[in-house]
Amino acid sequence: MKPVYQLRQASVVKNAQPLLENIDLELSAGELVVILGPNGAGKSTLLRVLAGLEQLSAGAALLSSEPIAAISRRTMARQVAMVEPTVALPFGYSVEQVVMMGRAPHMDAWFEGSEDWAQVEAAMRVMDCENLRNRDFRNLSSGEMQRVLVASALAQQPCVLLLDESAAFLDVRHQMELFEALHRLTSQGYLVVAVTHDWNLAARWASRIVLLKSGRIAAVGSPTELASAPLLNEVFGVPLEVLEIKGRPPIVLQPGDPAR
Amino acid sequence: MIRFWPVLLLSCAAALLALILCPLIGPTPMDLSKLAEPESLESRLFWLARLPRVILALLAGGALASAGVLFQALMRDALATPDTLGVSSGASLGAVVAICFGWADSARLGGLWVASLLGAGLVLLIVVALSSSGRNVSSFTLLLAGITINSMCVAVMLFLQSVTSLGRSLAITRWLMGGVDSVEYSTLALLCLFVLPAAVVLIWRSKDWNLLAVGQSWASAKGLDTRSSLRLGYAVGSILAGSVTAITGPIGFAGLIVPHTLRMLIGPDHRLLLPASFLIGGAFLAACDTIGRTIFAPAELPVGVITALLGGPFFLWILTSRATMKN
Amino acid sequence: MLRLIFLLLLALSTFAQPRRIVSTVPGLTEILFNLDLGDRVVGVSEYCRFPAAALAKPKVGSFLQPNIEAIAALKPDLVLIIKNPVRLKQRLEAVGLRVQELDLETMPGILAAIAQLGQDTARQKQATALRSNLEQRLAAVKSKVKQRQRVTFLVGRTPQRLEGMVAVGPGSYLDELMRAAGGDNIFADSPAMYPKVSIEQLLARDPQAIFEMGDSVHEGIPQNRYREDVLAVWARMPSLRAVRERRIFPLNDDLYVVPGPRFAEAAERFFEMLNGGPAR
Repeated sequence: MKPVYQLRQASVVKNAQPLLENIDLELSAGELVVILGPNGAGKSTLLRVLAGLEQLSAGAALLSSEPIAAISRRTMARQVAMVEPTVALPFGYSVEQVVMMGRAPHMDAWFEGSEDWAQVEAAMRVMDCENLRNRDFRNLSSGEMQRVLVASALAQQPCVLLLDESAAFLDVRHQMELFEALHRLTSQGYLVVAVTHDWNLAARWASRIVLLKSGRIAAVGSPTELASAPLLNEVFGVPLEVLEIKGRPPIVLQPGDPAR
Repeated sequence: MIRFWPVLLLSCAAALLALILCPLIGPTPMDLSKLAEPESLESRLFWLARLPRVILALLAGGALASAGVLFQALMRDALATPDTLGVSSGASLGAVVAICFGWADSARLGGLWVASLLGAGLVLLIVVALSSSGRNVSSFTLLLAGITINSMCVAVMLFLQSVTSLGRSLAITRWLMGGVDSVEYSTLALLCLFVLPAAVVLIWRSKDWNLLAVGQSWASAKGLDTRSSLRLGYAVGSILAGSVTAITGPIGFAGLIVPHTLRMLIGPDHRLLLPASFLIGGAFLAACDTIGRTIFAPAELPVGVITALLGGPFFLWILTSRATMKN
Repeated sequence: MLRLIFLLLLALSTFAQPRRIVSTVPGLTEILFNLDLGDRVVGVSEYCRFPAAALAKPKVGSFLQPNIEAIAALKPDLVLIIKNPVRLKQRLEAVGLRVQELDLETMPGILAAIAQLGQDTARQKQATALRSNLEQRLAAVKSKVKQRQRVTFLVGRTPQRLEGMVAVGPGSYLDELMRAAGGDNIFADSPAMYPKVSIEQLLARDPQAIFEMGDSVHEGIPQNRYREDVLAVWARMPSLRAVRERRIFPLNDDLYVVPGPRFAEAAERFFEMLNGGPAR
């Protein structure tokens, strides 16, 4: 099967500051890829490159063998949906309206059609926010907001879902629910790419992890492959311990201080 | 969008009601039975004085209210209006420059229009440059910038007024009084030429403003070419605010009360909010002007005085309710 | 000996007369020139254009915003101002100037101002002559009035359009002048001295004559072209009686709007226009 994304020697330079350098990466349908790395490693920039919101300074980024820069925003939005960590609404759009905005790249008519409503209903059902539909988005809890934003992304009927720190504001239960839902989507053929800070979350759900450091790829592989203390120490700049429990994904811990 | 047609129909009815009722109210009492006689005073008053005036109020109020809705969406702030952003002042300054340098003399009335539109566009460019320089510009910054631009424009206007001839200085004073007047139908035709296409484009692109009101990166993630949409929005906004200001002079707060109230009543979807604001905004200004030309007859109170008296407290109320919301 | 004392007194009185006068008001400048004091005028306002000799004098700002520093620099021994709400007298006296505050808003006020200035400058004889001349001419105009007419005087209007009109209201100098010439101001009941009016009031009150100075940005345009322009604008409103009867009088001479010693001439011209004569 052909990969969905192909990045070759992709670099982004802003204000003479290299944000991404020589990234080589292939991402395929059905994968749940998590991008990990310390602050400023270029995780969000990489995600924005995939979403077509960031221009490359050098190298190539292809979506389905086509240069991303040559794809119109509308065509892009039908294939790739991006979920931002938070959205601050100035006005009281209802949950239903926010989800419906995901239909924008598909709607040619001025009013939404039956297909649009069907997709919105389906997306709200997947993200379990049907009962929120008439609520003012601004009055939702962070967890509810995140579910609505993902639903809005799903309403775009994309084949790629990009999530930026989506789990950061969620409690454990909602984190689990979000990633369970994402996992189900990958089994339906979606490519899901998520940025997070949380190794344990990544290790639990990711089929592959991309480790970034200072704008370069430090390592790519399955959680088990990357779960080596020296590698993680180097990437995050602190001593970390890896705890392996049989039959479970490896857990990373900060070393305890027995003297205390 | 179940409520779309009922709300739109109600708005149409309100505008139509204003169009029919407001011309019947005025300082000169009207004997309705004589209205049909072609040479009666009643029919002259109706056709030559009142109707054009009410149509102007409908167009001006509609344009300012929908420009207000647009700026509120683009700046993502409920307090953004043509006058709080300084766009109206820019248009005024353009007009004053035109009067001052004689571009508005006799047959060259077009000079005033062009100068007014350019003034509005220029100020909007400055505001846009300010609001896109940082990643997140607070509404506080935006309003401060508007106040600053306002005072700068006023300063330049006062300067021009003091150095120009007595006749022109009087013309400037009269123009700055602002307000809706019984204009000639040719003036109305010219205004329609600017306002109606702009309003149609604005309403046609309603879904774009919905996306942009949430945020620029949100809009582009949902497939919108944000740069061209923003450019279109700013151009249309300047045309609406500039062309109206060229005729009526500055009318404060006209773009604030109606959009804000309607958003609370019918929600923020621009497909409904924009046409409703255009219609109700027009009816609102026509009603205000009917009060203005009646209470102190035969002298007239400029409509801007009434909108400012209503809009000022309203503005403060939004500010305070927002402050308590944050706490 | 008696002759010597007399000469001394004469010398003293001439010495006490103001020799360097600044006038901040067009009407007062006109009075000064009328009293043969043109040579003593050392400064005038920007709006003083009559007589032509006044144009050559140094400018000291306008009547509401005179440049106090510029006035002081001219070292005048008399500064003339009109009644104003901005405490000009106190501000000018504070820099050590002698100030005479006069009222030009009404015709009796103008006559009183002439008398006062005659006294201040020892020109009583000329002042008395001027006063009686003006009073006689005004009385002559008033006596000729047979039929009163409803009129309006527009001081402002959007160029080329019958919009944004500002008319003369009650209590103003022009109102008084028109009344003397047989014209009753249709806006005499207005709460404002210079009300903003619209075509509605003109249609409803349908004046018999319209004095029109509205196109105020029309400057440096010859009188005949100004006339044609203004008449063309009004021709679009044939519902007005004054338009149908060709009784629109375009004026662009500051004779009509400067309260001063030319009021008798202005009244005469108003009378002529209202009684068949052409606008001049």
